[in-house]
Amino acid sequence: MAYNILIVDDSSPMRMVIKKNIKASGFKTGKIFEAANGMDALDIVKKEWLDIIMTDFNMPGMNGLELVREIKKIDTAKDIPIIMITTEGSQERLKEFTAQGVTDYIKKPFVPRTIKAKMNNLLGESDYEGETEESDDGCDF
Amino acid sequence: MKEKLKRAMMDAISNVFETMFFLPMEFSQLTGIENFLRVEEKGVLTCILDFNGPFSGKVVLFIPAVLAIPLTADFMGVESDTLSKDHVTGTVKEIVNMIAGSMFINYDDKSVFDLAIPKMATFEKACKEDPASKESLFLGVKTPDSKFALKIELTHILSDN
Repeated sequence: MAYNILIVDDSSPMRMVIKKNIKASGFKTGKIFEAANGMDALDIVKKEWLDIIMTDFNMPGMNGLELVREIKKIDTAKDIPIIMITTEGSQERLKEFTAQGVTDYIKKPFVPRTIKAKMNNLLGESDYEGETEESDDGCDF
Repeated sequence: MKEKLKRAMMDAISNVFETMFFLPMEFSQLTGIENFLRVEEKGVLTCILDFNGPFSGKVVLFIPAVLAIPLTADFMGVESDTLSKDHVTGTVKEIVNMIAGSMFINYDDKSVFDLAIPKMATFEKACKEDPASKESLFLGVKTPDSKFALKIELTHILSDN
């Protein structure tokens, strides 16, 4: 099965890096959508079938958490797994993410296999390698 | 507090550049931007990120374009001559964002620091110290072919950690 993925980040280089890592991971992807802000992301969420959403937290206008709240209001999208990609990793912030419905998170900077591991975990693939959040080995960006 | 923050800053810089850019580096003993990057130097990109938390202030990155461009190309996996200005400034902003986030986690992962959106600034503006600044920290970093620097200005300190 190929999965449709939405990447939301105001930084075009970071969107490209995330996309590159998803493709390099060998993960079976269908369409990969990109949005530079929360409003554009919501348009895509309303129109397209998505299997996973990966969003930055720190974005101008609507931040990642506000986007999550909006997505949760959409009946057809409220159950889509959401990964927050963030530089802000305090314990309180991470609790807030979970409380608002974020499924998992990736702390920046990240190694490529973190993306694959998190996606596999969320989508039920079998080769999940366990927690890799703090891992800094084996990366070949 | 200052020493703890400096340590957190050094670890964050190492973490970001080693994890996402594979760039070897060493920290310089020089203090002050004027001692590290020539003030008249053209093509130094500067980016400012304001933050609020147990203490508030700004993080400023000074990075020569000659370093930022190949870093961006490596980061994105494209040739340098295909890059736009937005690609380079976007990467510089991302670097500041990642360093700041990583630094505050290193410093105190129980406290919440709100990070503003990073903004590019002129070299002069970035060098100018905020009148409200109470403390500042400077860190120069040498890479094999270039160098860059980071400055933190603290304008409001709620608690002495």
